[in-house]
Amino acid sequence: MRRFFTETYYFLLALEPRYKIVLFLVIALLLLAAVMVVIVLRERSTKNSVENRERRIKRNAEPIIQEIVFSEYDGAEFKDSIKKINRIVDSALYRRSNMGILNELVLYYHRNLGGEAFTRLEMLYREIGLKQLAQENLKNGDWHIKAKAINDLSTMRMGETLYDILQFTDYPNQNVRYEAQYAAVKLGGKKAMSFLDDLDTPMSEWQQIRLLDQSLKFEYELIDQVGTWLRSTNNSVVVFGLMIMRHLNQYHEKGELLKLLYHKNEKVQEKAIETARELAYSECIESLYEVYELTKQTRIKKQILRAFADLGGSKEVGFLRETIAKEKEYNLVFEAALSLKRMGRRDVLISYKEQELSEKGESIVKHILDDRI
Amino acid sequence: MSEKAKILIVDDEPLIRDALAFKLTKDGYDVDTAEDGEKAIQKIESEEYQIIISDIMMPFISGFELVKILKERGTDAPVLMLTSLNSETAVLKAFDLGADDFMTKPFSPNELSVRIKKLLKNAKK
Repeated sequence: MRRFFTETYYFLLALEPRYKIVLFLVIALLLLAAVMVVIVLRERSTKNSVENRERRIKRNAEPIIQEIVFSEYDGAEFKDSIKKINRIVDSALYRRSNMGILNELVLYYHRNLGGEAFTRLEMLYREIGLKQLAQENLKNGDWHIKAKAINDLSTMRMGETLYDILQFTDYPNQNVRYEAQYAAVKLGGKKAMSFLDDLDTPMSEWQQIRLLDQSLKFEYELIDQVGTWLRSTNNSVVVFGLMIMRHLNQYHEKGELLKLLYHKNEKVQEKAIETARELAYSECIESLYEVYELTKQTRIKKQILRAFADLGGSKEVGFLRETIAKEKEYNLVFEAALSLKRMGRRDVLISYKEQELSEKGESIVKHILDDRI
Repeated sequence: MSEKAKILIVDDEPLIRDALAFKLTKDGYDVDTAEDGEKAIQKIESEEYQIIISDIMMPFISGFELVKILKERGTDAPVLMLTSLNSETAVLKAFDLGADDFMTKPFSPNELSVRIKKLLKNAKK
């Protein structure tokens, strides 16, 4: 044996350097492959064990949950079933993970079943300790665990956890606070929306749409806080307030809307003009003229010209006609011509005398008058 | 004693399939299940069912195709479609192909029971 190693050693020593390098690489790759195989096998074994545990819990808990959901249980039977489920998930090492599996099972049924079954599942969620688990996750978990806990609590309509959830509506992590804001509106209705009164963090447009979607259920109610939101220093809150005003017909804050036409933020200003137009707020026309003179932003001017079509009368027809004749900016001439057409004033569009319009202006008017387009 | 009505549940989601089977068995029906349209057709060829409850979104043969095939073959059993597709187009298509009733998820199991009773009553007439 010793002779074999000695001979191998001298054989390797005698090799040319390039062969030594190749040999070294081959050995290194073989070792790496072996390590990889071990890692893959270990991962597979862990995954299999988790899957087996998941299957076992589902197999055992499913009939009990079905019994609870579909049967007319009395209190004693219900408590007995809860004990049975607790025994299934009980484990010194894996209790938390087992509860997670059970949580997904209950949520799955909740997503698919309605009526009485829906209420029973909510009762089960509370009694089985899943609500408590979600509340613990809210306090101690990483951001993704917190976000999931909030989502679960709102899906399961755990209204009593609203106060806990409200603590996260201005949380530094965006995903957590967005979930909390959505859950707050879902569970607490318009009163819970007061978190917007002093919200510091910005809301994305998508988040505003999600909250608006939840708020549509208050369509025929007066939302007192709209004024506070319109006065907020958080521009995203102001824009959301305008969306609420427009989509939920909250006319009572028209005074605030008038002030927002002069807002220094372009997005807010644009939304304010859009809202005034949608709410047919024709009293703001004089302010719109002022803003048109003050602003240098083409987008704002375009919004105003568009608003004139809906809010304006004969004076605005004259203004639009003049804009087409004198304005150099292509987009504004186009918008003014379009507004006249929307007002049904084709007669004005064809009334221009020769040389009154520039070459560009003429083509725009011709284009707008073409009914095929 | 009257014979139990036989119901076939076709759904690729095992949890929904099992839950429905549990509920309908509890209601006193004789329940059979299939996880896709192909298996459902095989079962329908060998057994006679009084009602077929089918999901729409399924692998191989969708619920729409299943209804079409069943109606082409002249199967008398009423078909109740159960789906998460909550759109007018889906409802119209299902009825157009010959479905007898339609429910969207999340559905109330109690409402499902009532609809099944109604379908069975109509089928007997």
